[in-house]
Amino acid sequence: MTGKMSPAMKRYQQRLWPTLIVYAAILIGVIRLFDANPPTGPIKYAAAIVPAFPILGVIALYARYVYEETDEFRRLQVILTILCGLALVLGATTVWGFLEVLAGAPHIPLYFVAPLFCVGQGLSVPFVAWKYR
Amino acid sequence: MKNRLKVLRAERDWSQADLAERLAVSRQSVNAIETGKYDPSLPLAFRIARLFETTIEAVFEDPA
Repeated sequence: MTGKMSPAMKRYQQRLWPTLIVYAAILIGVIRLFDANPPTGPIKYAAAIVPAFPILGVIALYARYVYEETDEFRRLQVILTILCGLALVLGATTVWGFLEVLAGAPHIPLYFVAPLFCVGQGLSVPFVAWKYR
Repeated sequence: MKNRLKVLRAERDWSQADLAERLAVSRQSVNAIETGKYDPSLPLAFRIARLFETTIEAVFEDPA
């Protein structure tokens, strides 16, 4: 995953950054809304779910990249890093889930799952590149 | 999988980047295939064989 970026990866990056900017803007807006004038009833649920949409969009961007990448070797490498991210999320949340239920460990909000996935995927990039160097 | 890609490429005096361009893949892909770290899909193997005007068996060694 070194060297020149593939056209599909360029498109992914071009789509990713605006999505993240939208996510940041929505998140700040929703947090301010809940701080200043907390909504109630169905509006509360609707407003709370809005920041999740850009994250769902990022997941869709992953799928779109995998579908659009014509270089099968690059595609394999990216899929391996995605699997590493998923493995970290599944492993960490399973372990922590048992710790919470059985050992009274503090609760961790589920919205940390997506950043944890990104950490796992990011950390695996050099290892995957090294495997095929 | 062992293969003759490096030899075939050298016979034509192509760099990895030249071959990558002809196959529409990354240079890293060519390197990974050449060094046997990545086995190409059947469609890519056919493209490689076609490019060198030979058969898949003449490029890739049957590990069996």
